[in-house]
Amino acid sequence: MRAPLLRKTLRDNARGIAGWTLGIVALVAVQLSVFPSVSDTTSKIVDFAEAFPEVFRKIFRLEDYGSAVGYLSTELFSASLPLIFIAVGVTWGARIATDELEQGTSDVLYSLPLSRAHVMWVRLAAMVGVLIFLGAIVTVSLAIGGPLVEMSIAVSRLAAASVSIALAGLIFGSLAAFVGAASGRRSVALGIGLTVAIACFVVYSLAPIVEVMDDVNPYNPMQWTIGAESLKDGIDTWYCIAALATSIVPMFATIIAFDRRDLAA
Amino acid sequence: MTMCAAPREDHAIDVREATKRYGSTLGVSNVSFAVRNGEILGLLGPNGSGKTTLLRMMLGLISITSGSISIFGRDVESAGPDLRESIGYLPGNIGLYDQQTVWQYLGFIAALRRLNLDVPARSLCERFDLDPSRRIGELSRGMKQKVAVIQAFMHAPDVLLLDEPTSGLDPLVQREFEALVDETRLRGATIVLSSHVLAEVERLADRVAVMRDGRLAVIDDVSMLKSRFARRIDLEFPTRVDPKPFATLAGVSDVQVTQHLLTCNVVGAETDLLRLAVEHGVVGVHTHDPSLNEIFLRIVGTNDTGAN
Repeated sequence: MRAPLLRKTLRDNARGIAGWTLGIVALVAVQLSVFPSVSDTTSKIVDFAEAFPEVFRKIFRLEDYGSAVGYLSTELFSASLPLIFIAVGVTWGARIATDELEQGTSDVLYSLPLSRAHVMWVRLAAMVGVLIFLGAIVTVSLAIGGPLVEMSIAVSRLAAASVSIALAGLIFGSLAAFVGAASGRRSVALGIGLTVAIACFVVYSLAPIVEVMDDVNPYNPMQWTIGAESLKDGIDTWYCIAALATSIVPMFATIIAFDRRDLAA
Repeated sequence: MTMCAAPREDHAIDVREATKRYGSTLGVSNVSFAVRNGEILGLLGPNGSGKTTLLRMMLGLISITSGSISIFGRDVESAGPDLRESIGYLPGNIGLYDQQTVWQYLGFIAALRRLNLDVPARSLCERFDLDPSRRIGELSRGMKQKVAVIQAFMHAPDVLLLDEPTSGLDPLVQREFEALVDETRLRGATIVLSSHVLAEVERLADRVAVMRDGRLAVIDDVSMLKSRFARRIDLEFPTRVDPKPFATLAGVSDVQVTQHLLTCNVVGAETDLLRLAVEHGVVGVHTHDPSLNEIFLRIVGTNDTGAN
């Protein structure tokens, strides 16, 4: 029963997945292509970064820019890739419960001998699968491209960093899925999912310089994912558990909310 | 939701005091009826009367505020999704997956039912002159409706819930649909048919339930329903007759005489009328039964449910 639904879900989103894949590969390629220039001028880069106030260096994570880890952390894993994964997660999550409702295809689907929970779990699993796939694309792209520009980072660290950003996508994707299931409206799910993600990102970014945000930041999903600095330190177990728990709870809430919902004609 | 009493075993569908409330608005109010195994029940009512809401409650697409609905003795809200294995549903406004071909769509539905329905699906496509290789997005409204009909019937369900099934279908295809319904009835399936095409309901349904403002106004056999309402009888005489003796008969009203023709409305048995007509030398009798359309308009227009 799961296979046809999963196949259809992935097939319906094949173009989107291909687009995201190409975009990620292109982004990684561009950033890798610039790295030799950066590494050749490391001392100048360091001097350049030192010229900025400490606050500025903290916000933009410029402390270790000249190294491979510092460069990738700043250019890819602190903002651009996490935001891409969050965008994937939120746009996917927002459609999990609302797609069929808005297309008018829910009547026949949910009149079949399968539970709503089943459909939701399949769609949530597809979201997880896609985020994992895109994370693997990041890892493979860097693992292949890194040595070409004399960038030496262990594949395990690349994978750890990819897991972290995939978890960021999963957290906010799960939230969007719950809002979609509760409201029945994709626009609401998109809006709330992205708003919460942006708010968390702002808190994370300003935490180094704003005390109240620094106090809240340990409970910030961005801190558990981006802030874990997995590329440098590997997977942080507790942050990973917190991120997974924060993803799983909205998933169960999605099932419950959608199961109780009246499906509008 | 009240606890449902033991459902009647000879009934495929048992609706007991079913109510659906949307805030302060009642979509369906305290509706009770049962549909016998193998019966076709026509569900009539003006727009917004609760027909679609009731069908969706039967499927669990919307929750029941109070009361209960059971299908084959199983409460629709507590039964698992396997209850729907033997149900076919044709929604009033069906949405299909435009990117799929007809065959892909039917195959997807069959796969979700865990059935191999290649043979019946292909047979129905041929019967309804539908090219299964065509992409759904390219189909006209009527062609999409054919797809909707096929997906509801192809797994030979024991219960069919059909909401405006012939909407968008041309008369030839409507005839084919009626033949399909007849065949389905012959194999013992139970059908609830909601339609605005009253002639179709009149042809197919064993009983008719008329809803109005969320309530069940009347439910009865089509023939019994007709007998509740006055039918017009034309009596032809060799000469002009006096209408007064006819007007005094029980059940006879609106007697009018035009030259050799006497017309009147009759509710109930016409025995006395015919006896009197014979005494006056009647040479011709023509009876005009009320159509379901006329009955429907009387019920929903005036809340007149006819004489008991």
